[in-house]
Amino acid sequence: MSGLGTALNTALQALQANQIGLTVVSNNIANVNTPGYTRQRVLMQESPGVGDTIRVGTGVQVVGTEAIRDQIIERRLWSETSAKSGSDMTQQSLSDIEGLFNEAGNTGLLPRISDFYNSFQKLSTNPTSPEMRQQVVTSALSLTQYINTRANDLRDMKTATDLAIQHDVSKANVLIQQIADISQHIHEVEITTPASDLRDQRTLLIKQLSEIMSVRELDSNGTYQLTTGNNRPLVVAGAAVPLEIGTTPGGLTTVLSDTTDITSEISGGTLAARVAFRDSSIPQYQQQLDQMAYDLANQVNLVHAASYDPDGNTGVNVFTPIAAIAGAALNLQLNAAIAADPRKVAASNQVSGAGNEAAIALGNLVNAPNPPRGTVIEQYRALVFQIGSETASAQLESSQHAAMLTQLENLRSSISGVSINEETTAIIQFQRAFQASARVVSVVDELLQTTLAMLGAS
Amino acid sequence: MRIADDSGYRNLLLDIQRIAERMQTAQNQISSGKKLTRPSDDPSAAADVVNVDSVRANSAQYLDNAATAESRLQIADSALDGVQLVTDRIRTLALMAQNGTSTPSLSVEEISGLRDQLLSYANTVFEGQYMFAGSNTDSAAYDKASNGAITYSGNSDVVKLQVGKASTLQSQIPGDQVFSGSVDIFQTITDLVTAMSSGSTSAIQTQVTKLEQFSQTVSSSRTKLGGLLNGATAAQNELRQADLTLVAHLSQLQDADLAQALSEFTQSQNALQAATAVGARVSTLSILDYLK
Repeated sequence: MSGLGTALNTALQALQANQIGLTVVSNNIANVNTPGYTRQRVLMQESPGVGDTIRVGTGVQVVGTEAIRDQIIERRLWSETSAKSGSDMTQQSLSDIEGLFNEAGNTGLLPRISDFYNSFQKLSTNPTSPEMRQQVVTSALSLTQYINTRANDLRDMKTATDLAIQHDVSKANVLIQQIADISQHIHEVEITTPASDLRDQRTLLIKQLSEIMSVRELDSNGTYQLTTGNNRPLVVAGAAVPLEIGTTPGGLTTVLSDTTDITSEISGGTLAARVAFRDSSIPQYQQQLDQMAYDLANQVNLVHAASYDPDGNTGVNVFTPIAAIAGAALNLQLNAAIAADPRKVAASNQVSGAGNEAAIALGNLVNAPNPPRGTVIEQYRALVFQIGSETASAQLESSQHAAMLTQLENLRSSISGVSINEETTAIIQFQRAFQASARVVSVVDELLQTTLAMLGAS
Repeated sequence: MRIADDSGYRNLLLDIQRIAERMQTAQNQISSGKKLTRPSDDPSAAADVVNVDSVRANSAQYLDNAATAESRLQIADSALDGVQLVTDRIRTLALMAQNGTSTPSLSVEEISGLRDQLLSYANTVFEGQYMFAGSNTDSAAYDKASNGAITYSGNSDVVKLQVGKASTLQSQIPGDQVFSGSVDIFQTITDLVTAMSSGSTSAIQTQVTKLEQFSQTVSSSRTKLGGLLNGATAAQNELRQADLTLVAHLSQLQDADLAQALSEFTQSQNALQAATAVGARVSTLSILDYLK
């Protein structure tokens, strides 16, 4: 039969267990605002009973703590994080291009194109006027410079994006190393006890890595692996497999895993968004701008070279002939001969150099059909529409992902997040249990004293 | 569903951000008066704006051209008005000489002065250009040689200006259609002076007939100018009218609807107030308030 000593011991265990319970609650409350924190709960178990005929329990034991975590939701959070940060990046990048072709203030490319063609119409009203000729040269120069600047801006964006890809890879490598270190640590600690805090940290690090690229985790039977979305290793058995940086023959950055070029297979996150921006969005707008510059220069040159200046000279180009469409916007240049001598601007279609028909024809090129691409203005209109709608849909996508991410984070919170109300209730629970156990101690104490008094009296 | 403390704040933040975004958009529209500030605000409207702006820029140039044509045609018309007066006076002098009611030497002197006056009409310059020289506008239409002979040094080109996407308007009449057309007025005057000096009435009559023919030419040229002037005015009216329509279209494409923007602003302001009020409650509703 168990004695008072057993009761005292049981009470002591209860005091300790509930104290641990309070500590866990306290830790939960302390971390209510800690990002990535997973709430924990204390695991209690009754101590084995003793006694031959009357078996009585011997109290409570704390066997450990448990983190309330749903790994599936964590993984969905990572992939949504990748999607959101990728769409944010795409939206920002497209907005940059959009700014280049914003005609809202009537200060963009369009007025320069109009001025250029109109300068020929002005010239037609007074073909021999030096002022009108100078105006043609000035507006042509302003047009070429503007197109050159825009082409330069696009090229600079490409360079900057390429550099940002390198930065993303270095940032990813730092995270991969940290994840590898922490995984090794977890492996060592979890031989004895679960390492909830370390797992929280790793989850948070993977979330950060997910902002750069989407990753997959494999965690079973003590083997831990982190790979890219396409199964290229990043962390294997506690060791980091950093990504490498390579260069294409064209001087662009590539991402290598081991020695394999995985640039195009990276999915999600800022890295994939940047690669897509560099390799698809920018080239596409460059191509459109090039095509415009190419068509504009060729159309004008064709008519102009067949016309005559007041001195009867013919065969002169307005723009330096452009050999290839690629790079046309960068290479668009006013013919130096015309820039130096506006008298070389041809306004006549007669050998005598009299008349204004050529000037009118050049001015009318603004409306000249140019199948299948359309006039320069129509091409520009298409470009503005495209960048506008691409940016708008990127904005929409980004806000959709923001909402989805919030929803998932709420879902995670509903499982792993700390609720003050819940914790406060737990405090009361443990407090009352502690108080009751203390009461048991004091009662046993009284009983012992009574017993001792009985001994002393005899 | 179990609700953790951070969910409430996270939702609140997302909602407030969204409302603030809407408020910002409405505020921008109100302060700038534009609903289209970037192509992504409304891609198809932005594309249409490119089109309309381009058409307006071209039309503005056509309008300038039509106005230029109008001024030139007016200048030509008033020159021909002068030519007609001078021709009438020469004809009067010729008839007087034919009837023997004038002193031939005085008349001859006056006629050669009038001939120079005609020459200066024929060499009318407007904005640095000779109006009756065809397209050869930078040199005099008629040159007077040292022997007094006057010859046309312009060409027969009819100068036109673009006044619409597909329409041109003649802005000048070449001199060889007026002064040295079917009748060369300068030669006629020279011949008249010779006839008057000789006193041959029949020779004078020949030149008088030519003068009358010339008057006809001038008169029909002026009729033509009148028609062209009407064309220039009509083209300008048309372009102005079209521009009004375009401006209205442009405003539709890019100007903010102030009433709508204001109501959107008020709406989002109310929503924001409600959201923040609820947000303040989120943190006050706690079991802690009921424990002592």
